[in-house]
Amino acid sequence: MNRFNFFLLAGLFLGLAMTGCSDDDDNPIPDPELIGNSKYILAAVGSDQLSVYLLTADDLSTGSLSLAGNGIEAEGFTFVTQNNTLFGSVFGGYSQGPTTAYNLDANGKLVKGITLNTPSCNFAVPVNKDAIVQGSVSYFVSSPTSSFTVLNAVNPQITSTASYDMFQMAGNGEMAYINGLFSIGSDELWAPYRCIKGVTGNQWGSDYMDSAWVAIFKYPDMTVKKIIRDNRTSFIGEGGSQQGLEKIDNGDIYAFSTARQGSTKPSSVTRIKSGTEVFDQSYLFDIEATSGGYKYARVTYVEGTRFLSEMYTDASIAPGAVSGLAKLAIIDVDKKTVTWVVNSPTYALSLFITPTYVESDKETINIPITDASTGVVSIYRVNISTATATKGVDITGASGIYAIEKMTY
Amino acid sequence: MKILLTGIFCAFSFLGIAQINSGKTIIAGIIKDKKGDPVIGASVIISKTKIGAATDPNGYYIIKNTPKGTYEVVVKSLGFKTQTNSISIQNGNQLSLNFILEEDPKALNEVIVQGKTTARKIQESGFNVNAIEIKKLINTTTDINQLLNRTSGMRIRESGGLGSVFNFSMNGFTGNQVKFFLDGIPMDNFGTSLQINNIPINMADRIEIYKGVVPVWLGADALGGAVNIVTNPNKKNYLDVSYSYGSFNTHRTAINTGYTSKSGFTVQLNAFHNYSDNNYKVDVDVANLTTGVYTSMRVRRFHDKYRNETIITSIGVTEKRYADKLLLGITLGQNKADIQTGNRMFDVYGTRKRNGDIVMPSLKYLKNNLFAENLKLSVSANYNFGYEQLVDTLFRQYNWLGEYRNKSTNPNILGGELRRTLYKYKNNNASLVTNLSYKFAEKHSLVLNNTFTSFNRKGKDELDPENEQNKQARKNFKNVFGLGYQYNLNERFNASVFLKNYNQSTTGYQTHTWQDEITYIESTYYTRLKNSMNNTGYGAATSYLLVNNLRIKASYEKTYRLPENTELFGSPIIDLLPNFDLSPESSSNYNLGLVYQFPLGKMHKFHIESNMIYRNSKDFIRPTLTSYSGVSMLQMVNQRNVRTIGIDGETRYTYNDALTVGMNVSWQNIRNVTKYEDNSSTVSLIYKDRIPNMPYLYGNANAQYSLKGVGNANNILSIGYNLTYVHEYYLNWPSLGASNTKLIIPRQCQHDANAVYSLKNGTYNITLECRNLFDAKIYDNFSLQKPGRSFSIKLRYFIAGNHK
Repeated sequence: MNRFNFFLLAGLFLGLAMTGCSDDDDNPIPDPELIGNSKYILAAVGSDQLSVYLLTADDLSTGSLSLAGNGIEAEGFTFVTQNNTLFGSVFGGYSQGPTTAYNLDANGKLVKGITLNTPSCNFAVPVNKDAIVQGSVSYFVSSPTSSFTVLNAVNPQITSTASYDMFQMAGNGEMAYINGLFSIGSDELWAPYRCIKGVTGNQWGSDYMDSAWVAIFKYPDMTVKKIIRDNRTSFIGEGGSQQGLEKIDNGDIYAFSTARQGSTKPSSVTRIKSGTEVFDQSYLFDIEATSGGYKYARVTYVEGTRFLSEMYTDASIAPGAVSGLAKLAIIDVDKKTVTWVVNSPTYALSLFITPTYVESDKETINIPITDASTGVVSIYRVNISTATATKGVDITGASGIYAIEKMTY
Repeated sequence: MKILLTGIFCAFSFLGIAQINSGKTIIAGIIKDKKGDPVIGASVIISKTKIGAATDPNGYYIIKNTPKGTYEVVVKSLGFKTQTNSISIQNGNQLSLNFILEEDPKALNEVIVQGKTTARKIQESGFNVNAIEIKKLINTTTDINQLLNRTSGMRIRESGGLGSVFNFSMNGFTGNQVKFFLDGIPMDNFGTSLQINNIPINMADRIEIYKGVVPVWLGADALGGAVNIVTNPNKKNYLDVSYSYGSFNTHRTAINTGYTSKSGFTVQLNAFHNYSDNNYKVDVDVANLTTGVYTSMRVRRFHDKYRNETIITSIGVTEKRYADKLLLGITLGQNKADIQTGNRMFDVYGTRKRNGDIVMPSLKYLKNNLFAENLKLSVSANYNFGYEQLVDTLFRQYNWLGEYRNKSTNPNILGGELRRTLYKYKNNNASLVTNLSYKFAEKHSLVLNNTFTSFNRKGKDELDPENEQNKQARKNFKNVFGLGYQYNLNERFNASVFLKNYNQSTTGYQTHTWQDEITYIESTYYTRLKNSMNNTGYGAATSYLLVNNLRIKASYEKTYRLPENTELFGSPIIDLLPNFDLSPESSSNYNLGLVYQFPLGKMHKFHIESNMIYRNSKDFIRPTLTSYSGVSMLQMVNQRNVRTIGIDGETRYTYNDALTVGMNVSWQNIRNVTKYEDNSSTVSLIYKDRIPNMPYLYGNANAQYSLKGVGNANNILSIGYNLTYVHEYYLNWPSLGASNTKLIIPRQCQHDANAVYSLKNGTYNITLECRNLFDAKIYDNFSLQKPGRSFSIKLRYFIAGNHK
């Protein structure tokens, strides 16, 4: 009986399992101009690490926001904004995690909208101006199918689904584990993946840690157009964190690799020139050599050739654990520089995903950071030009932030 | 009322003879009433001497060393006419003398305190305990889960219908903090085929619910209390057959029979079968499998069949020189359950299921007066060879209409509805429970208990046979040792103190990844990890009769609950990581209880009871999320302290033994007293918040009326009604989020009614029952809807007899 009590309990918590969320910063298509009134929406996780509360705010630069008696109790764990609507999906142990839509009403109050039945997903990405594609990826070779669900975000419903055999995709005796989906142009989604063994006890081991792959999918039918590979770096991005592959303003695509334990390569950036589908062999940026031995953890594209990067702080530590400590830096992929952000705290990377929001001035980035000594979660505002971080609003009662978005009303 | 209750047992007088040592003069026998029920606490006195004895809970008495001569034996008991019998004693005589007492209707109205049932006696101990005498309920189709729900301080929460997964809370403790026992044996060893959601009520004689302090002889590492189901009444020859049929194609059969020959040869058999389609209607959102758009509908559950068959049999001897009881037994059983839904109704399954079996040999040994008089030894041992399995092999998505789609466009590709698995495992549970008790100088008794359990999980997934992790050691040896002393001054006062030692030793594994320096090829290997823990707890309990009919009970305990096997070893099926560093949870429990009963005139009787609790619990074992290579996993950690203050009250009124009206209410203030979360230095927002997802205010009301002589003088018709109320409570922390958006488990009110018609003094019984009379929407867990109105009929035949 105890076992079944436990299943019950555990299953409940599994609502959280799998990975975090996505946000539209990764979408290279410029954010629509925010017309009229706007509000920030924050998805904050309660101190129990279970319940999620959707908070609205006019200003993230100062003061504090409390979860006490405040915020819509929500069930989403992956959040994405499309068509001025926030979509939150339940994940993990659930096989059919619904996706719920939220809008701001005429008074700027967040209200709950339609709920859709969607397969549980690990990440989601807004595509063009009307769609969201969710990815449900396998890391078990015994059940190697990964699937994609295309949602209509204007008239919310599933428009199509597609599935792939990841064992077959890898074609090397291991399985492909898709780290995330990135919208490249209006008719393609790029999916960087790594190869893993996918067996219990050796889930993440691989004989191919020194390779990076990207599967290029046609949108909207989600057929595989091409798979490209580069052996100069380890895999691109990090499972479910929806970062690491970015199409920048000039159309070039930059790919970031942490180089985790098992890889002999340094943490590096590679490039795919605009309009091509091959890694540019003339470009390689060794982040580790430039930063003095530090590896990149997660990036947010800001503008031009500049990225805000969270960097692992201990050069000697194998960055396998995402609980590793991080510090902020600005990476210029063209100049190949790493500039440490002034006043950046040293903090533990947030669980699964770092949600960020780049203001329309393309100068200011909002990023949540949990103070290592007080445990208080705050939104830090980083100025990309001065490379300076300033502490903004405190989110009292939160143990983490799953999404920072902005919507209009 | 009493007539009805006792009438369930049939009118046959036993000619039982206690085992007699030769050489001494011994008078022994059994005293029963006209219906065949043992008369408890009757005094048997040899006239002209001061020698005498009182009958035990089974109606037996024994008088030793009566001098030679001719005497009158006088039997007296409240509520019965006094009887006498002449005897003549020679040296070395062994005399069997049985009495059948006649009720004294006049006396019945005058007496207040009658012979006490075992259940009543337990309730007078210092422990905060409810003992439910099953006799009163044996004709109902109620299962043990529902019965516990009607007990103050206790809530069983089921995820659905018959056989469904359940969780419970007792005074704010849930899950593994409360332990279940079957005849003193820890039930967590039994697997799913023998659990309180399938044991028929007819198998139980009584259920003892210890709230808070658990007595020494139950060797439990419990934090919040324990439930002990006592079966196998000391009846000798009996046959109890029942069958019930009800809504949702529910069939339940139970056969309980026992035979004891004159020579002491004993056979006992409990067999039961449960089956249900559980296809009750639920109000759900039905998903369109193509568009994902939901439509609200009322549909039948379509994949929730449950069945189990279990046979518990034992064979042996009783009342021998070397053993008062020596039984060898085996429990054989199996269960199969479809899994209709996950923890939320939006997860619908059409093929997932679980199954398990139990193959458990057992040994029971009991010896009274071992080496010395009043030194009693009992030993129980068992070993469970049973397995458990989760089956999830079809790569489909279902909706509530039973429609499905393949999750892959390639029909040949493999997967599961949730996670593909055929993982089958044996836990190889063994348990050895030893109790030694010694009563000396009349008023003193010592109890020594040692409960040893072992766990050695071996499992394999035939879909993943080479899985190295499944082959690693998962062993756990747990030993709870207790020593208790009790002092019984008299009927008015008793007190006990006890000491318990909790010991656990665990063997697990650690995963290492290793990289070849030349080839850089990574490989995984495992090393063994051993851990052990040792804690000592203690406590005291006392009971005092303040004034006539007002009893006060108080107890205190410092106790531990050790981490469970899945908490230590993890479970790949539910993405749970192991944590070998878990410490036991600990708790200080204070309990205070008052019991007051009084008559009002000749016809009215009142019983009022109230218990207060105060608990301080530390290092709760709770799940947290952690990242494992970027994928979130659960892990159990020691975190959070909880303080509970609670009160429950129970009142019962009986009129002329025909009408009983009762009510109980429980209120528990269960608060989080973890001031700082994790390594935070600011006071937590949920500091002093009520613990979420736990019922805290609930109650039960019931009424029963019996009509004697309906159709025939020996027939009784009884009509009963039961109301269960649970106040609404939050799924998540109350302080967090805007109050109008919070997810709640709504207030619930369920009405049940039943009618029992007993013929021929309880030999034949017919029961009609309606549950959830007003078809209310009932939820025990968030959004998991339980069955609506249902009907059932139960037929029961009971006969108890003499040696033939």
